[in-house]
Amino acid sequence: MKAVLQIDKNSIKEFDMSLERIRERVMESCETELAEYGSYVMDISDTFIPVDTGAAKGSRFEEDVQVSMQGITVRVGYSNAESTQINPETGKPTSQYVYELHEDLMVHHPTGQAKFLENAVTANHREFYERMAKAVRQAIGG
Amino acid sequence: MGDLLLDIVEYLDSEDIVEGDAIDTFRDFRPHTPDQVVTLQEYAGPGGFSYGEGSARRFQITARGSTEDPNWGRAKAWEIYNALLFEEGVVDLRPDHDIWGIITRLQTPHKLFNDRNDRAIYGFNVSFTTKSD
Repeated sequence: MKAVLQIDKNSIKEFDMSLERIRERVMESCETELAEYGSYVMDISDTFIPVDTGAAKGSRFEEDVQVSMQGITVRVGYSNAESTQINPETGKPTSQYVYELHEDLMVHHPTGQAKFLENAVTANHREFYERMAKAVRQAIGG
Repeated sequence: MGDLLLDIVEYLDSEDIVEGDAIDTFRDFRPHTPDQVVTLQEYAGPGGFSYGEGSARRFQITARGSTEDPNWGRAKAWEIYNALLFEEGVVDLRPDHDIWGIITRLQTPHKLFNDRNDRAIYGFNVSFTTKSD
């Protein structure tokens, strides 16, 4: 029995192109899934964030997914430059107090809790890995 | 069962960084006086692992200075931050209680906010991966 493996310049190029197509599909799939995960985390965070006037909650933002050499990232949270709200009771922009709202563990809130965003992430970190695994599987047809 | 925060306080006391529990260092409580206090508070961590024993717990350490000496909080927070770096990685806080763990300092100390009396509060969050309480 004889096995022949023939490799020529074109087949290497074709192989390289098919790997690139897989990489692109994986990236696209992960980008979509990461954006959805960001929204998912924010939906949970919105149920944790203390609400008085609703200004902090109303400053929610979800930025576009960024792809760089370091990886794929999505920024979500409250009070970025575009989403900052003015608290109707104090006149303060939410950007001045939303970090304190998140980090001050000593305050008892009638509704919600400190660490609203961090807790939304830590409570759902497995969901992140499952979603990314699903995205890769879908992209490579597994 | 031991108390993780108390173990941390006692460790910091043994390193002469704080005077002691309920003296200048408080757990789950930040008293109005004195100005210069250290506080530790646990909050929800990621929890247990899918495989194997252990869980990851999280707590926040803060240091508050007076309005006359706002830098005290920053300096104290950094002192504590540096004391929580263990060369061996795994820390055995209380060998008699079988408490071991891996401490990860989640941020460097930074200003968190000013309290109602305009006293600056510095702090950082810590993750403690441990097998038992």
